[in-house]
Order: sequence, then structure tokens, then C-alpha cells
Amino acid sequence: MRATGQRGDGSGLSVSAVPTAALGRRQNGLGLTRREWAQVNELSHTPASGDDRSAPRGVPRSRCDLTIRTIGVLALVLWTAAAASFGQTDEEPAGVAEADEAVEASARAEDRAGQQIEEQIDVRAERPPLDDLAAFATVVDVPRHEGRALDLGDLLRRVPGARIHDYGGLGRFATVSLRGSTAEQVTVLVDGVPQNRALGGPVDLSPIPLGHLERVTVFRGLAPAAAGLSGIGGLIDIRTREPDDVPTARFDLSAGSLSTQRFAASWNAKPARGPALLLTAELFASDGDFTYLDTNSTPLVSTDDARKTRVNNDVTTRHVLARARGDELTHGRLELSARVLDRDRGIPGVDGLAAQAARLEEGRGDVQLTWMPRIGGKWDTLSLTVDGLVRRDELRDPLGEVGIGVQDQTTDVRGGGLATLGRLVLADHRLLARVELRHERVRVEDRALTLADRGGASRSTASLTVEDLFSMGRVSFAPAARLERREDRFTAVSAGRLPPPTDDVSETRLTGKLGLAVALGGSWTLRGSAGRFHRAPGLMELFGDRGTIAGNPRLTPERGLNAELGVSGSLVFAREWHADVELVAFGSRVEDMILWWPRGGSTVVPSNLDKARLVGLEAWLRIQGPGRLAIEASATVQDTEDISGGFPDGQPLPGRPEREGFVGVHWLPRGWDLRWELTYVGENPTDRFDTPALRLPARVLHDARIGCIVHQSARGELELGLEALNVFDRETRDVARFPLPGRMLFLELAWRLGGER
Amino acid sequence: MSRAVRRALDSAGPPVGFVMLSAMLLAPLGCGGDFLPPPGEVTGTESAPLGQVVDAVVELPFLTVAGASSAGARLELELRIDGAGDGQHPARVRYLEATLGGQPAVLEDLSTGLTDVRVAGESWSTGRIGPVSIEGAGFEFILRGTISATDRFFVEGTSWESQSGLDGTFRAWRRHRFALAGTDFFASGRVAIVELGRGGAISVRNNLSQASSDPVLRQTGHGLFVINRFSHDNLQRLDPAANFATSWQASTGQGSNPHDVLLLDERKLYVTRFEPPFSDLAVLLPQGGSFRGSIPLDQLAENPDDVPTPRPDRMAHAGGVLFVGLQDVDRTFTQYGEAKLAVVDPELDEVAGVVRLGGKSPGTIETLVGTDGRERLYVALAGIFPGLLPQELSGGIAVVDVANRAFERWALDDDDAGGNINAFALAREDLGYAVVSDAQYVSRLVAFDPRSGELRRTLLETSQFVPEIEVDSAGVLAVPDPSFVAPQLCLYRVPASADENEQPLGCVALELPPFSIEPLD
Repeated sequence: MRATGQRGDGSGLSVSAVPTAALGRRQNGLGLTRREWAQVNELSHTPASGDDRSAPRGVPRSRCDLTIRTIGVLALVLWTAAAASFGQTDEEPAGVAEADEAVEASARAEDRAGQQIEEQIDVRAERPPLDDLAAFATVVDVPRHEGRALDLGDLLRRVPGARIHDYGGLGRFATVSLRGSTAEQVTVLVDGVPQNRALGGPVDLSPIPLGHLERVTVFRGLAPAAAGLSGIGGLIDIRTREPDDVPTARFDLSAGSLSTQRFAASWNAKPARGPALLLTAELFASDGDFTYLDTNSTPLVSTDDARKTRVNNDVTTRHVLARARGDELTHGRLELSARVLDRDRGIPGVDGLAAQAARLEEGRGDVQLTWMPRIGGKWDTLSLTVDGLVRRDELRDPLGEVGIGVQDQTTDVRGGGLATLGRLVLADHRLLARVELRHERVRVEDRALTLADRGGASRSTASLTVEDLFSMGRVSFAPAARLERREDRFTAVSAGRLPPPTDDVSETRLTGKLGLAVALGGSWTLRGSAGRFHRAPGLMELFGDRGTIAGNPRLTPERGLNAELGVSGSLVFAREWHADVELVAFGSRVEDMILWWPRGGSTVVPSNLDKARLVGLEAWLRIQGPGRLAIEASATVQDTEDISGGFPDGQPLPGRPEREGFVGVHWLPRGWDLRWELTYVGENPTDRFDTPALRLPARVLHDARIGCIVHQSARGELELGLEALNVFDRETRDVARFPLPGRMLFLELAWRLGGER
Repeated sequence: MSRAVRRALDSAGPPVGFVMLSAMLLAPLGCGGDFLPPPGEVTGTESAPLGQVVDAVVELPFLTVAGASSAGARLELELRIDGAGDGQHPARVRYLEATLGGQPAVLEDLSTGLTDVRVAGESWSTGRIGPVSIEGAGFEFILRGTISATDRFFVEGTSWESQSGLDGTFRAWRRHRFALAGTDFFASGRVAIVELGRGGAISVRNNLSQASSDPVLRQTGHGLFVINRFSHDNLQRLDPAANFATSWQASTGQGSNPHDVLLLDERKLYVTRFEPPFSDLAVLLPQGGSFRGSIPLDQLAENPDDVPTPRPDRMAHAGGVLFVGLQDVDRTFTQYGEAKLAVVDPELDEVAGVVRLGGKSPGTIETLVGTDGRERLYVALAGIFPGLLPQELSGGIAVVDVANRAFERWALDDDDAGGNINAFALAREDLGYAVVSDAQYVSRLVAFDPRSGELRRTLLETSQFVPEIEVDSAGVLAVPDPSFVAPQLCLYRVPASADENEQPLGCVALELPPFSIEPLD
């Protein structure tokens, strides 16, 4: 349970842990009792930029005043927004000015840092699953966006340094990269279980429904030791909703543009004797048939461009999440969770080469059991988690539209893991040890081929991660190391035939990092980390695929040296305004990046050819004002450079804009829920030579939502919302040749029963 | 926030206040811009025919200029000729340097910079060149010479200075030029020109025109084209007179995957469209690339796919007809029909026959008129590269008699070569070069005797992919090296005797890994 507090102004806004203040009070050294370590724990897990925690769920809300006058004003607002988009197609791309504004906003926030700080501390009783003394992390509190017509990727756009690659709109393939990393380099955990598959490739964020989630913590640069220090490009820790002790039910219905429908139901129960239960289910369907500007395959000529309708972009997704939690079972806390996904979607291909018939069916099942025994003595935490997964992807490309030739390919993945995490307090040190064993097996079959069985591969890993947290005066240190043993095995079929048999691959690797935090006084903290991480090659990179990717068992892992240094703190000004600020400089040097390079015929071979350097600045600001008003802004400025020594040497990396920004305004007046969110993505190269004519232009996207509670009683409430995404109907691309939808409108209905409102 | 503002917000009601706040944010941040295709980089003008570049040295040994210490003038100039072959072609002149009496002299161009070059068989001459001022004295001259019988890129003859009436000599070297399409194997490509000039200097001009990441260059007729293949589906014509900028770009049909282009004349441009349901020979207008018609080829497919997939690839124009290589492989790329050439009558735009080749996967086609006077096609049959299927060596280089439209013999057997024939080029009837790729994708560049199929020697062995090789008409072999670290093009002098070794002429670093190469003959 989360403790929330009322601020002195009575506004009802609560401020989640601001642990830096705790550090500030301990200017003469950290004590080492369990109680004090608990404070350090609080110090370590939040720093951070968070989501609109300024508008918590605990805020008492009332019915909105939905009068004719109000409806008229709302209509006027929407009409104005819509009308503003007409006749603007020839505008210059938004560029420097917008980004400068975002940076200036951060600078102004910094200027206020010297003002008197009024501490308003509300320490969470619950420790986040992953914590890190020194890391900069952004917490996105997902329930605050419950019922909205958004994907997880849309929510993460607010995170500084996060770059979302959306390939087709709501419910479609989307990945995230952090601080200029590749998407493959980002480790994504769901309830502590890695979602990155041994086969390789980035994690698709789109099958993770917001309705199932409690919180997303984005470790933007260096992965925490509690997560096993994995992730050369940062780590995203996704936590699903936990069963609550208060019985609740919730139904969400939204419908709107592109024949999009979403229905979600959630039921939470706590029998008098027995575990707390949570069951949520969601159905999402969309035709995805938006219009876009098609170049007719002639990018140099605009006279033959025409607007077309995206075809074969439909998606239907069904999710179920079931969780049970018993607090007094088996001498401790026992949690069981199961997630099931069934998704069927078209693969529309790139613009200029629309695929009519290619489809992908995905079935996934994950089950997880966690036991946290009651412990005493020097043990601070102990947990044991066992998980298993089953996945089946069926790719049907009967016309050979999206790859080399026709495919009728089934990829079966089976796997599981066991992880144990313990924290021990010994004298002046808090020690962390994490042991994880994982095994994953992949089998590929392509019925379109004469030789349908394409073989399989498996990966087994064992890792030990240790961290020691200690302090010296105002400075706390957290050195950590990870030792990993990996064994990859190729399973050939039809001995001597394809794919060609190869030797097993095994490797032992040591990585580590050093983090530190310095209490600067008041609520301000200086934090920094530096470490070396790696990404093991995927099984496909090591052993190849159905024939077009030749395996390279000699591949070495991608290696990255990451560092970050920044300050964070909070302040109160003008008596009623509270601001949290964070400014971080980061840099990384990544070597042995894997590049697929042609080697003849129609095959490519992965090779450790690439190398890159990335540096940047992130600024994050959250202001909570009177009248339940919250403003959040983030800005990222980064510079990337290829330092491979190869032909692209000295060029910026494709797909990494120099500047990105986000501004969100959230206001909760008298039963209303009003939001305006703005996302800025700077111009960015799409090829390795930064060809000017191929750059994706800078863009500013606006999303807005108006919601109001139209019925409220002791038993529950009914909220009606209207969401507009891409309000000004901009023609956009996150990824070259993958058009995104224009303006979309959704009507949202949420019915909540029981629980706090 | 001031009380006044707060009161105003409270009293205005939520929507109005929200609009006010939003407006505060929107005012400086704007509403964003649309994704728009990049600004056009086409000239939009008609492309000039492919020409030649000639470096000339003019010597007038008896010319005396007042103030000069001794007699004799020497002038170096560059001629850019807009055209090739017999006939009269306009040319642009650039004066490079001059000496008088062996001493450097001040040079001033007083001319329009234009002249013309006339070629008739072995005869080579220019119109009036000049006037050009050397140390204040004006000169005009005319060159008359003969193309060397042993080196078609060398001209030698007399110069005549019209002001003084003095005779002299001149020597001219036509530059060996290769067009290259490079790619980042990711998202884009670019066109470059490599020139081998007088004295063996190799130079490169990069980034002349933008291309896709799957670009193939073809010189056909007097035109130079970029075929943007898989998923790009368009054709670009480059304009040599505009520094090889793109004259026009035209779609070949979304999903068509064009593979080759052949400019028959100023009325017809043929493009092979590799992917079903296109599977045809498209007929386009050479001026702008608009679609004129289609010659279906799917009736010639013999692989077992439900949808006919003839997979038309490379083309050649010989004996008054078009020969179109058909790879005849199904949509899984695992089931092959017999390799064959479709014979297309360009007058009727109809299929007029089929030449069966045996083997699998026809690729490069070269034409050569033998010493016996017969015109032959040399067709590389790659067999099957290891990948989806095990490696299969079922081909080599087939020889087709054009007149009989029939398979004649093997110029090289891939079993003898020791791998798939990835690329090849003919220097002459008794000497050819092939890139042979083994099961581990190690490539060897070998010289072979196309008459006997005998391997002569191995020029190089590399783990790099060698996509194409070319020999120009004056015997310079160009071998691209698409290395990630140091992409380059290496040139070799083809020996006069097939038994001698090739003479390395040097390599030149490239901006992008070369993917396709074409000699600008």
C-alpha cells in the first residue's frame, strides 16, 4: 500500500518520495541501522523524474459541471484545434525554436534552485522492486492514464532520452531506445522477467496494455544491480498491477478513429481468508486504415505523390492478466501471476510497397511465482522468483511481400528462469546479491519451404550480480559487478542440411559499474554512475535464420561504457508551487556493435563492425501548482557519432534526433480531467550518411484529453472522456517509410466501482 | 501565480482556463510541421547522351612568342565530348596549363569554351579550339589524328595553329571512366564516378546523385540509369551533362522490383520487372519513363509455384532481338525451373522464342563478336548459393549463339571454377574474369579462357562480397571492394597476352561501399 499525504495548502496534491531530502539531513554520514538503511533505500529508488504524480489517485474528485455553456466551449476548443490544421501543410518543419523553448524552460527551473526550499516529504512505505542509489530513472505512474487511448510507447515519449519508434499507430509494433542506443540494447522487464528474447531483436512494446500496468520505471542509462546490471542501453522495469486489499471493479470502453475499439475490465477481490485476487482483461481492435502521403516509389519526385489509405494494418488483441497475492502464506508473501496474449495483425509493409496479405499471429503465455519469505536478522530482503514462458509467432506472407520470398513460418519459444535476490545489512554495508538462471529454446518451422524444419537453438545463462552500498560522509558509493556465463546451442535438423551445423558457443563475461551520490544540502543531490555493459548476440545472429541471415558464431557481445552525472532536487516557490528538477549529462561509447553485412547471394552476415559515441544532456521539470495543476516538461539534447573507422565514420547515427522534448499540462478542476501534451522530435537522419533529403523533418505533435465525471455516488463513478491524438493532423513518421496516423479522436467511458476515487 | 490570474482561471471555468494555459504553451511551440517528401533533386531536363572525357597535350615546337626565350609552345587541355562513336559531337574545352619555351606561361581563355569533335572510324578531329591567350598572344588551333589500333583510348596526330599557320603534334588520352552506385546497405545510396586519367592518376567524384540502398547502374545506349530495386521500385536516368545529376525518376510499379534496363532507341526503354504479379518486360518512354506497355513473360515460367514467376533479370540486345534472362524461381526461392533466355522481338514487342540454358539462376549477360564473325552471348548461371538451400553448382558461364538462338557450349563450368559464379566480365574472346564464391562465401577473382573453360590464374581472394566486375573497352578491369572499413575500387590493366598477369593500376577510396559498377564507354 502506498502512503499518501496532504500538502499543507490543502490542495490534496501529494508528493511521492523525495528521498534526496533524507540524504540532505544526514550530512555527517549515514547510519547503518535497518531503519536508517530504509531511508537510504528510499534515497536510492526515486530520484527521479516521475510522471504526473502531482495528480494522484487519492485526490477527492467531484462531478464535473457539464452545462450547455461548457459543452459549447469544449466544442469550440475542438473545432479550433481541428481548423488550425487546415491549410498548414506547407509549413516549415518545427525546429530550433521549439527545442530551444524546452531547454530554456529547464534553465529557468534551474534558476529557481537557489530559492528557499520547503520540504514536503511523503515517504513511500513500499520499496520499488528495483532501486539504485545513483541511477537516474523516470517513473511513469500508469494508472493516472488508465482508460486513455494510448499505448505504452505513447506514455514513454515523456521520458527524457527515450525515443519511441512507432511503426504504425495504436496497437502496432513499437520499440524504444534510450539515450541513442539501439532498441535491442534496451532491456525490458515485466515484473522482473526479461522480455528480450534470446533469438534477438528489440522488444515490442505494443502488446503490453496500459490497463494491466501499475508503474514503469525507466533507468535511462545504467541498469540497476537489482535487475542484474543487464542492458547496454538502459533498462525499463514494467510492473503490472497488484491485487489490492480493497474490492474494486472497473470497466473501460473507448471507441474512435480508424474503427478503433478498446474494452477493458478489471476485478479486484480480497476474500476474508485467502489471497487477494486481480483479474483484468482487455480487447483491442483497430482497422488502422488511415490515409497517408505516398511517394509512388519516387522519393525525388513529388508530382506523382498521392494520398493513399493504409491497408492490411488492422490489429486485434486480447489480453488477460491474473494475479494472486497471499501475505501470510508459507511463511511469507507469495505472488502468482499469469499473462496471456493473443494478437492477430496485418503487416502493412513500408510506404510505396504496401503488403496486402502478410499477417502475424502471436500467442504468448507467461506465468510467474514469487516468494518473499519473512526474514529477520541481517537480511533486509529476500525473494525467489520462478517464471516460465511460451510463445508462438506465426508469420504468414503468402505473396512474399515483406521479406525474401513467401513465408509460412512458425517460431516457438519456450523458456523459464529462476532468480533470487537478497539484501543483507552487514556493519557499514548493505550488500545485494542476485543469482539468476535462465533457459530459452527456440524452434523455427517454415511450411512454405520444402525443408520446413529450419532447426532450433537454445540459450542458457547463469549470472551472479553483487552490489555493495556504503557511505563516507556525505557521499554514498555503490560498486556492483555481474558475472555471466552463457551457453548457446544450435539444433540442426536433417543432419548436414540447412541451416548449416555449427559448434556451440559459450562465454563468460564480467561487467560492472560504480555509482555514487553526494548530498548537496536541502533536497539536492549530485549523482553519477559509470559502468561497462554488454549485449550478447541473439541466437539468430549467432546461428542464422531461414537462409538469408548467415550465422556468425564468432560474434562477440556489443560492449558499452556508459556514464552519467547529474543533479536533482525539489523546491517550493511562490508558496503554492512545488517543483522537481533534474539535469543529467550522459555519455557512452559502444563498441563491437553488430551490423548485418552482405556476403554474397542474398545473404547477410552479422559482424562486430560498428562503434559509436553518444553524449547528451537531459533536463526534466515537474511543477505542481495550485488548483490541481501540474506541468511536466522534459528535454533531451544529444550528439551521436559513428566512430567505427568505417565508411560512415564521423556521421551521426540514424534515427537519433539531436533534440527531443515533451511538455504536458494536467489539470483537475472540479471533476474535470484536462490534459494537453506536446511532443517534439527534432530532425533526424535516416541513413548512415545523413543525406539531407532523407532526413525526417522535425515535428511537434499535440495530444489533448478532456474528461469529466458525469456520475458519482458512494458505490462508484462514471467518467466520460474525449481524447484527441495528433490534434493538428500532422503527417508524421517515427521511422522512415512507416507512416503514422493523423488526427484521431476517441470517446472514452470509464466506470469504476468500489475503492478510492 | 498571482491571485488575480488564479481568480480569473477559477471564474472562467475549466475549459476556458485550460484553453488559456494551452495557448500559453502553444504560442511559442507552434503546431508542428508535416512530413513531406524531400525536395526534388531532379533536373527535369532531357538527359544528354553519354560522352567522353579526353586529356590532350598540344605541342607547337616552332611557335615563337615575343619575349619568350626560346621557341615552342605546349598546351594541356581537357575535352568533354557530349557523345561517342562516329559522328560530330559538341565538346567543351577547358585549358589546363601552358608553357612557352619550356617555361610556364600565363594562360587566358578567350573562347566560348565550345568546339566539336568528329569521329569517323579511326579518324578523329576537332573543330576550332580557342582563341586562347598564352602570355598575351592569341592562338587558335585544330587537331587531326588517328585512334590507336592497339589502344582505343589513345589518339595521336597533328595540330595546326591558324594564326601562325604552324603545324605541330598532339596526343590525346580518353579517360577510363566507371560509374559506381554505392550503398550504405541500410537506407540510401549514391552515385560516384571514378576516372583513370593520363599518367595513371585515379580520381573519384562522390555523391553525384542520390540513389536507394539497392541500386544497380546500367549504361545502355547512350544513357546511364540507376535501377532502384527491391522495395524501391523506380528508375532514375542520370544526365552526364549535368554532372550525372538525376534527370528524371519514374516508378516502375510498386512491388515490381526492377532488375535491368535496356535503352533500345529514343522511343523504347525496356525494364525487367522481377516480382509477380508484374513478371514482365515493361516498355517505358526514354524521356521521363512513362509507361507504354508490357510484354508478359509469365507464360515461360516452369517452376511449380501456383503463381507464374519467371523472374526476368538481365537483358541484352543482339541480333536485332532482346534476350531476357529468366531465373524461373518460385516465390519461396527454393524451387527452380531451368534457366532460359526469353527472345523478344522489339518490333512487335512479343516473345519470339526461348533459349534453354540448363543450369539455374542466369545473371550477367555479355555480348561479344568473335574472330569468326559470329555474335555470341555469355550468360553467367550462378546455380544456387548456400542459404535457403545447400549450395548447388549447376551452371557456369553459358555461350549462346545469337544467330541460331541456341546454347552453344560452356565458357566456364562452375564445378571447375570451384563455386557459384557471382559476377563476370569479358575482356576479349580468349580472356574473361569471374568472381567465384565457395560454400563459405569466400570469393576468388579468377581469369579464365572462355574458349576452353580453362582457369588461368587467381587475381585475388577475399571474404568480401564482390557484387560485380567490369572491363571497359580499352582493357581496364575494375573490381569493387565493398568493405565496411575501407570501400574502394581497384583497377587492373588487362594483359595483351592472356598468359601474362594483370597489371595493378591502383585503388581509389570510395565514400560508400560500391554495389554496382558500369564502364562509361
